[in-house]
Amino acid sequence: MSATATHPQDVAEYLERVRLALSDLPSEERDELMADVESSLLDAASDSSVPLVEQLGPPERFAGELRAAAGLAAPSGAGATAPRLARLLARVRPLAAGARDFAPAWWVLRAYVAIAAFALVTGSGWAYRAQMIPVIHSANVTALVGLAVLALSIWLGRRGFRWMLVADLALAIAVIPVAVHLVDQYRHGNAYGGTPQEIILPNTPGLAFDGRPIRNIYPYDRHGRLLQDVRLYDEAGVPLPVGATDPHGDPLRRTVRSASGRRVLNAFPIRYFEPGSRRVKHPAAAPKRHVPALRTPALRGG
Amino acid sequence: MLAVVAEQDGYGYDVLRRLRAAGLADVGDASVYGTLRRLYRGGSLTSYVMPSDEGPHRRYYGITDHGRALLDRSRETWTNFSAALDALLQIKLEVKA
Repeated sequence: MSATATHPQDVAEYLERVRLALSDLPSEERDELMADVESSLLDAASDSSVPLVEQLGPPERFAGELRAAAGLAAPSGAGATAPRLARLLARVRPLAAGARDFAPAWWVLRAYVAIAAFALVTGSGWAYRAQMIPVIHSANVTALVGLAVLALSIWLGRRGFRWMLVADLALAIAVIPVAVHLVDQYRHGNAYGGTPQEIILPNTPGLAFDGRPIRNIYPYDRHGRLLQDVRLYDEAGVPLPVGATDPHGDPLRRTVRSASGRRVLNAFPIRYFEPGSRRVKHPAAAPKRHVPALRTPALRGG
Repeated sequence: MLAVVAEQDGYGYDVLRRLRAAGLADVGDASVYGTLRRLYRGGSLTSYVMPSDEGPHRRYYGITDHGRALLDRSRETWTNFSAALDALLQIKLEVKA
């Protein structure tokens, strides 16, 4: 392409106006004509820096000659678009064509929006750990449905059905409530899915359960064995400490330290030394008498 | 136009350039593209699309047997017409030995 080539925006606009002037033709005929014209006009534009309108005359006249030479009927008066509207549309359509490059991203996004909107409407839950991921019935079902919807979205996108524009518009509007929900979840950090319920509790500092402060936690594994030095974190990854407000800690508390030497306050069960010594008298002490083994099979990869 | 395509397959702008190069400067771009389309629909031309890396795919036109027949008839018609016209204008076509 020569350095003095006509600006591609001009070409796009010219083409759009020609297309508009041919808008009363059946789409197949029009598309074939436009395809020929488009590549030829691009060549014509690249060969000289003279604007297309000067080279070829007004696009509406060009379209008229095109139809006449092709043996097609002249447009009826009712079908003609007002010139100013034609120019406006001509400027907008090429931008929409450029947006088509982003189509695949939209295909993926709209699949997500479709499922998220469905989850919102039917009140299905959201993933425990990732509040952006909707869960329909169960994780497996959601994964299957998600893949199916994604595949459908991509297939429809590649086929380019016209009526998908309506669906796209609806999904684009549905983005709003989905986005609102996501922002909401982010701000309230809800762990159980569905609408967050704000329970007013007395302001209990530190770890608490329904307003009652917790002083220790005894974790048991699936076989019913008491575990030692288990560190606990909440769904946001924040450690659940006991005794964080004690300035230097309880001197009788067995201090647990991380590899870097920092005090770890969320390791359970917390053990205490016998007064006057640095020894934990009963390392296996626990309040519960007997914790039965679990019947549910172990999770894989846990 | 059939003659141009008969010589070698071409796409819209290519055909236009060859017509211009042959001396038909006044032929309108739109007329060329439209006529190519009409000849194609009438069965005188075939078409195929060549993928292009640097822009939109180009639709090439080639001549068909029907097109060749039409071209020969047109040549004959033109030859008769120009002979008649020359005779009217009293220009001698043959060089008398």
